[in-house]
Amino acid sequence: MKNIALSATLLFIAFLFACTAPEPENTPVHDPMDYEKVLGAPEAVVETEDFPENTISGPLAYAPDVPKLNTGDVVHVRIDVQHKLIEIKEGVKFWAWPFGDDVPGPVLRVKVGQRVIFKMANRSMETIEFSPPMPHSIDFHAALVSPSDKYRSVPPGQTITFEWVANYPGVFMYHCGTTSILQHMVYGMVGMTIVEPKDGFPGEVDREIALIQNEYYLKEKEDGTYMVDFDAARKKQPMFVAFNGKPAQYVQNPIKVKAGERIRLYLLNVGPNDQSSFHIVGTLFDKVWWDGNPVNEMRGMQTVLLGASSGAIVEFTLPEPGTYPFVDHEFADVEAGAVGLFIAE
Amino acid sequence: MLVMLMAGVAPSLPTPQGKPKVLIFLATGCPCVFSHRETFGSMLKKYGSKVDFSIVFIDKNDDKEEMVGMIESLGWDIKYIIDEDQKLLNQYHPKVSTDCVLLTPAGKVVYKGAVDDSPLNYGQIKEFYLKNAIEDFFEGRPIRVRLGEGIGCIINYKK
Ligand SMILES: [Cu+2]
Repeated sequence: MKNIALSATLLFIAFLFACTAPEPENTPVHDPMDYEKVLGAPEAVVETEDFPENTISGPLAYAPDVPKLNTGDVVHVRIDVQHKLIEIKEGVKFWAWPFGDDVPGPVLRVKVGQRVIFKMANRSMETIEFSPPMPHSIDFHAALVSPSDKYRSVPPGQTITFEWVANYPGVFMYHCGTTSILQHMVYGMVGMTIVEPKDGFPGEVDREIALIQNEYYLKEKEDGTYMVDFDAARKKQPMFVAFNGKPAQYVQNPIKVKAGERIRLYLLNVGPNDQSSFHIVGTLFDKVWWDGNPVNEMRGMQTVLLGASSGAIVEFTLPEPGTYPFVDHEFADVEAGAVGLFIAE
Repeated sequence: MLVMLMAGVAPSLPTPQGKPKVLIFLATGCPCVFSHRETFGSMLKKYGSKVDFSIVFIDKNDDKEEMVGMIESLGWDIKYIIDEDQKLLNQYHPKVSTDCVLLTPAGKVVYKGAVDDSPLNYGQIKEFYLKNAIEDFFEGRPIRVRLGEGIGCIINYKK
């Protein structure tokens, strides 16, 4: 009985509000996300073919560089996987499994509506003497497709081809999805996709920079080389945290910019385990587009919190000449290498 | 408890009389085995007294510390063998590391291949190949699947 009385009262209050609430002044007339999305794509094909000389081709560049868009509705992209000894810091080398030639893999840039014809060869056979060849795959967070088809594991020596259409603008992760996924990611199988809105990102900027944060879980072997420490990865105890693959690389080699110029930073935390609290000392983010979609806009932020696989676009200016550190403001990560410098001249 | 056996002496491994034997071929540089950690681990618990299980490390360049570390990471109570001269490889011809063989007490191969098919199905196991083969063996039935395609690291056979 009591409940019925209460419900009736609430209903009455709701009715009053409905009658008396003022009309919103700026009723949105246009939903920028209200366009047709392309779902799914033809079945993936796995076959044996000759490998080209280069491991990557298409609108790709290694961060901090940001690639140029390809024109046209169809974009051909190739990112091969290899096993490769990489040096992430002076004296710290390990056999990684990079997409392309480096960790993280190359940044891919496309725009909404473009159809990506993607190819990936698993070249891990080429270094069988040093690193056991194994199946690999690729999972594009930017795509709307069936993972059990497009993201299937490709045996060593074979090539997968599949398509996807960019539907949502943003900054997205790609990574290997072969089990154990944690292992494949700590071996370096991570990267960034930038998807521009159909008409480009709103507003003009003077400079674009890509920063990808990742953790390394390594241990030193007796001979002084390093190997992945899977136990440390499972316990989330990284040896290094890096921007663009090399811990603290931009401390000794800062990124040079101009005071007062407007900078657009494409940010992605590829983890695989930890979050990033990205902050630049001496400025604020004028605009933050959460996950890189201009629809998700925030203003005047000090720090952007990125969970594993979260991205953002931040726009800012460095107000006057000087040295501006950028950090993951979780300071244990700074100690592990998640720090760099902008020099504004 | 970890016991290392002398390598490459498969036919005369000190197998308890009358027990079937399972060999799982691994390389410390190949993480694919972690896909089978639970399935294989539960088999060790369930059949450990009736089946003689061993890991065969197939790359003699593998660090012993890494081998022990890998077994500890897997959390398995199992002994291991280092296949120094690829004798066991040449005897049983596994295709990828993580492949297993199930041998009768007389040494006949009755199953070869993957522990299960979980790597193909995002962790979901549709075919418990090795477990089924062990059960079939003890029940005296024909082995349901005698060859299970494995997802693992390609084994580098020396010429
Ligand atoms: Cu992989």
